[in-house]
Amino acid sequence: MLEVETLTKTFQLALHQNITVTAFNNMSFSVEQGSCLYISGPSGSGKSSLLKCIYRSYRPTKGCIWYQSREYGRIDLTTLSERWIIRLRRQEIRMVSQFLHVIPRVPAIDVVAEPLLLLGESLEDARMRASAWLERLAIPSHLWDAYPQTFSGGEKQRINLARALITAPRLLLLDEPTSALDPHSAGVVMEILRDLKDRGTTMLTIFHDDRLALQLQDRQLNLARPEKTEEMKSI
Amino acid sequence: MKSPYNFAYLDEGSKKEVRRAVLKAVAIPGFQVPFGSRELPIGRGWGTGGLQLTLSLIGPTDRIKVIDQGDDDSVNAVSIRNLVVATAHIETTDMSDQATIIQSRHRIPDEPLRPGQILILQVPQPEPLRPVEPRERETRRMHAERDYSAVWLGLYEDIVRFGQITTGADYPAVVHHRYMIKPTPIPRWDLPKLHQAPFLTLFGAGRERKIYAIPPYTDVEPVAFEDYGFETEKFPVACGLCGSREAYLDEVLGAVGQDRTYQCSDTAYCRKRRDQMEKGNI
Amino acid sequence: MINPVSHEEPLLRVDNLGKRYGTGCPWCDVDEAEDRHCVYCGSVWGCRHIDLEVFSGEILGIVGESGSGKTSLLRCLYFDELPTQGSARLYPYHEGTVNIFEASSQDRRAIRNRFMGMVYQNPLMGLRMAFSSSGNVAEKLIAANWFHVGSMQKRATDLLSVMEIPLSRIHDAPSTFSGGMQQRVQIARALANHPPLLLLDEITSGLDLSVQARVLDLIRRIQREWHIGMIVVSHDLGVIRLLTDRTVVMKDGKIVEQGLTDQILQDPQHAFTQMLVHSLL
Repeated sequence: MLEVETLTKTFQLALHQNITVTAFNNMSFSVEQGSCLYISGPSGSGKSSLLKCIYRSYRPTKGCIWYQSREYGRIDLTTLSERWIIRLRRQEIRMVSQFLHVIPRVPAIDVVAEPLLLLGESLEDARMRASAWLERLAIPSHLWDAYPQTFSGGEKQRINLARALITAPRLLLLDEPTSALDPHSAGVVMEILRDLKDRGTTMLTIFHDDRLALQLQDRQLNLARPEKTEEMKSI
Repeated sequence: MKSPYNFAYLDEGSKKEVRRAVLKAVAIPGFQVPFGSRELPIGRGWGTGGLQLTLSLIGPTDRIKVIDQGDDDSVNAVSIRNLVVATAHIETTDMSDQATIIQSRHRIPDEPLRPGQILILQVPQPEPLRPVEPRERETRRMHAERDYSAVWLGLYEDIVRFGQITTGADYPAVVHHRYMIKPTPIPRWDLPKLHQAPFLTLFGAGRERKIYAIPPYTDVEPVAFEDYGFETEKFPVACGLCGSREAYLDEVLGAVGQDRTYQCSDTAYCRKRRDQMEKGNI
Repeated sequence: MINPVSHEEPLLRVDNLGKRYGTGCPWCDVDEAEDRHCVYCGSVWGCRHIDLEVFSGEILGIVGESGSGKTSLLRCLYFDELPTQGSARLYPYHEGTVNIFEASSQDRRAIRNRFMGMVYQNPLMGLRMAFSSSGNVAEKLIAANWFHVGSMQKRATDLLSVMEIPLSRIHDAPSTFSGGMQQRVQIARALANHPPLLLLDEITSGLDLSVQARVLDLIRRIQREWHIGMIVVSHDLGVIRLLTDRTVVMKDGKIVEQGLTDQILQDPQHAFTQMLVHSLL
């Protein structure tokens, strides 16, 4: 499903005498369809950068990312034009980032429904499915028409998750999806993710807590020692 | 006594210029042809455009009629007629059917005109787009591109605001399906007379320096919408003097305490009818 | 950039667009002359070597500081000015085979009326202040050969209510409206003929924040419901982030970077873009 070949990401800081900062260097690994890869490593080792490179929020400096798309076959995400990235993002690849940024002044239910509207669903259908997800993620119904900006961190994170998951993506990139959640909510989310995995969703995850990660992944990529991708056995 | 003026006041060169402009105007119906407007003993804004047309077109055998709002005897009509007579010594008349050239301000005679007659109208503002666009360069471009939507917009606003089009006179019309003109402040009543008319109509604006024309048998369509058509005025009564129901009437307010009466704006037409009535012909 | 399958034509394709102010001379045209300003004849290039594409259903952002040439570019696209060089092809016009700058003036007027809508930064430029709001929208309909007052009025009322202009005010002239309301009337007017391409030039600059927000939300809503292509020009990165999918960064009349909006904001490549992004308060 995903094959990363010699991927390198460096930043050229024009405002600081053009110094080069390397996020990661020469990464190569592959992810089978329906499996989950847990990316671990110390802070600053480039975990988020790696996910962002795959999602194309960062522009990879060198290397290839081969992705087996359902619509378009085997394609290299690093050389794809923006139009196609946008299309893939809508249809197949979703990312939940660490930052709790929400679109302002849009009710929570519409924030979650929007990705379906972009795929051509009707407003009613999209809203119905959005409400199902909000319920599943335990967002109280009186908040569905409220603006997420006023929500707590945990609620915002769950809104972002719902928005990412509602389109049933084939590839899911999760950057600390439970960091703002209490243990109970985190449990709910993990269950949803496990369910998605069982249905064949491929995932790349970053967790701040190893134990959560263990519930999901099949293999681990430790950026401190990237040459080895290790099998992880669940506890 | 040899007149100190050239025949019809203007020098031949000026007349030639006006005639050339007229030819071009007739060749392009409704198109405003710029011309070098000459100084006249009449102030600008008092009919110099119409007068230049008349002076350039008359010959010794012409017979002219000059009216002002339908009246042969108003001060301005008389002054203009006197000037023409003093410099050209041609015959004049107040009978529409006997004139070869009729110069008029703000009215078309109610008596139908024949082929071969020329109607000359005095134009205050030739440009239908001027109220929305002050720049000449822009209005010329708009005519070239047939960009008349602003005029329609003005009428739309009237309809939306007042329920009807409120333009009473100088109602814009499209000539030969191409150029939009202002037909001068003739009442709406007169506008249909221009459509497929057997006579030639010339428009002269002296101050604005433009000449335009409607050749005989040309389509002239007042600007209107599908659901709000063009309507002429309707009078509640007939002319108080001659009884005509087919002429445009002026409202005359009597002395305090007296009713208003209506009488024909076209005084010659009214007089002719009254004469015929006396002779028992009607 | 490799496209696996290219079956979709861009709505608008701009190639090598350039606008020079001034007489020009042989030195200006030398391509290596990177300078915007020609020292020999004093001409200034407003924008130069502009290549971009806009697709139906997407919003393209153009961001740059004042003087970057973005307004020059937009004015050329809307025929307010004629470019000095380059071409633009609009798909609804002869399926994108004819350069719109070579169209006759009648065709250009038709393109402006039917295929493009433009919203100016200054409402005075985009509206007829002496006419009612309903009339402003109707004028576009009249220009597209609508002749029925009843249907024009209905269409104008519908569009103005989508723009949240209260019914009681649609017969008032925009000169009596606040800035935000004037902009909304302008947008309604631009959308009157349901154009496939909408151009928005700094439409929220100078408006109060809450008013800005309302206008931007309306734009988003239209985008979702109508699926038209849009170009949003702004110096405000917040607006760009909120509205656009892809962005073009302009500096000194040239494009210095283009890409996905989130990539431009999170991983700017060019020095100028980095400076711009890091200048966010």
